[in-house]
Amino acid sequence: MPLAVSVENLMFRYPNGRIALRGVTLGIETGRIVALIGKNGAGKTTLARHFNGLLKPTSGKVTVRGVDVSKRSASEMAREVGYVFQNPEDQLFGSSVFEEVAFGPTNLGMDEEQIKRQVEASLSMVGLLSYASEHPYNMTYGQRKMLCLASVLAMDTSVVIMDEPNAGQDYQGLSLLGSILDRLKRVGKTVLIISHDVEFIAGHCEDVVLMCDGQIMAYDSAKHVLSDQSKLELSGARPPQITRLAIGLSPCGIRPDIITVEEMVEALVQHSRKAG
Amino acid sequence: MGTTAIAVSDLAFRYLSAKEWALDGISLEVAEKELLGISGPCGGGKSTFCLSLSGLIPNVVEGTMRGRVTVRGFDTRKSDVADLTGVVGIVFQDPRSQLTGSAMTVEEEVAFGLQNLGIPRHLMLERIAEALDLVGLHGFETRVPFELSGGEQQRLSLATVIAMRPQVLILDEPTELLDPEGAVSVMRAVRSVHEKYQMTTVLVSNQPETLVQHAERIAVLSRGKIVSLGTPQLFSRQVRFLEKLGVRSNQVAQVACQLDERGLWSGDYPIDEHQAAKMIKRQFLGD
Repeated sequence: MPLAVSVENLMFRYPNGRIALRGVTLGIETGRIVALIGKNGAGKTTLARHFNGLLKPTSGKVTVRGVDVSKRSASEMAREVGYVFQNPEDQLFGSSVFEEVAFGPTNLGMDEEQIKRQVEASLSMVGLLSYASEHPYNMTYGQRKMLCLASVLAMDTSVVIMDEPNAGQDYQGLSLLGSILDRLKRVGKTVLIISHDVEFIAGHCEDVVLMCDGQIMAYDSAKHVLSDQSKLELSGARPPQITRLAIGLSPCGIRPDIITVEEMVEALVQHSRKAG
Repeated sequence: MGTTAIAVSDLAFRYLSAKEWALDGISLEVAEKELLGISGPCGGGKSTFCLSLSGLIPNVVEGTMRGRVTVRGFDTRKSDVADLTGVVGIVFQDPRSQLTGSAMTVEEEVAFGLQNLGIPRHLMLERIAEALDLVGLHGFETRVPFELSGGEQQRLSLATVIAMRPQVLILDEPTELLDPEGAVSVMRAVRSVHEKYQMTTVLVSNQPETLVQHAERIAVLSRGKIVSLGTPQLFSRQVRFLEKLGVRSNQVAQVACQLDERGLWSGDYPIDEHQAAKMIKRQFLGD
């Protein structure tokens, strides 16, 4: 399988002199759902913004599906990589929900019929189809974030980047987001999601990249990274509560790399079967 | 329980031009010095409730209000916002919406509210130093507010509010937009403030770990009504009920609930991983 995104020794310095990325090398396989975690200022957003050419490397190279990002225009990249901004206010400008979502497909040159299909499919995926004629600003923060996601999904890019999509979402919003990720996985999209919500990541992401201070501290399966308490804490993060419990119970024979509630329930059921 | 700091009776509020009531018949008393937690789905009325406690509803935000809110004896309907400033302080979710934008330093930012209260200069300097110290921003006096991290900015917002020594502190999702480190630093500051001044505190959060760790009671707001009110133990017990409302429970409570449904759990559900470890060792691991 070809790499969806490949980053080689990427360095990035902001105009004010701050070095945000200090030699990042990373390959993301096509079709993977990958989480990017680490504290604020670690370089997560800076790294992700190189994937669609929003930022240009100070040195090093970024390729998407084998093509050097720096050799392609922003509009070419928009066909390949969709980027959902953290703050909906940075992204939304349409006067109706439909118009907002139609903007991307229209610019990609889709015909009217196709645009309508894309818009309706993506709005229905994020649960906002009944809002099509509303003004985006009449919606809650969580709904506006979902709208941003829909407008990116409508462009049907092979890579989708989501910058903290779960901030400000309640439980229902999170479940919906989870089901969207599962669906994108099924249709073979490559997804990179920046998030602090380790419980959510444990349930929906396959791999985790842990960043600290402009470098990659770990890149492995979600199970491996999320149960590495010392490495997470060094990077200002912590394992999910259920993993902290598992680590605490590991002297009694519970596996310390449990990362979901379901796994813990299963482990304890097995235990009571053996005992009983 | 001590005397009452906040009394809310049959409170309802509908925003101008909205069809539905954002709050719909809320009655609740918060004791002096209590730290009350509030949770609930988006659109359930949490922020509207905070605005009502701070007096911004009905004094600034337009709409129709019914019922009564009394904060330390002040009826919010009969007091203007200036009267209430010294009584109740509010910290919002996004620190950038709270900071003045005109202060060039952290010190000036905290001074802003005090100047408006007309506090004499020597007392002002004392208050600024104490507030910054309490939120862990000692040494940040001359830093630029907008160059601070999210957690630092939120602690600065908290400092600007507590420097005015309100008797009641309202925190509307103060850690939701922060990274885990920032969130911990803000909650540590909230804890220090609560311990030092014993302010009655209302903490809105959708992070169950934060709520059960800090709140004495937790109220759940859904569709403008209080649908549950009780101890963190009670909150942890309501996994399925909360799930239906769209409210997340702690993972350790979810484990207990799923085991309970299979007939494998007895007694209370744990509120944190330490309690969970003890309960599981006793019930499953023969300890």
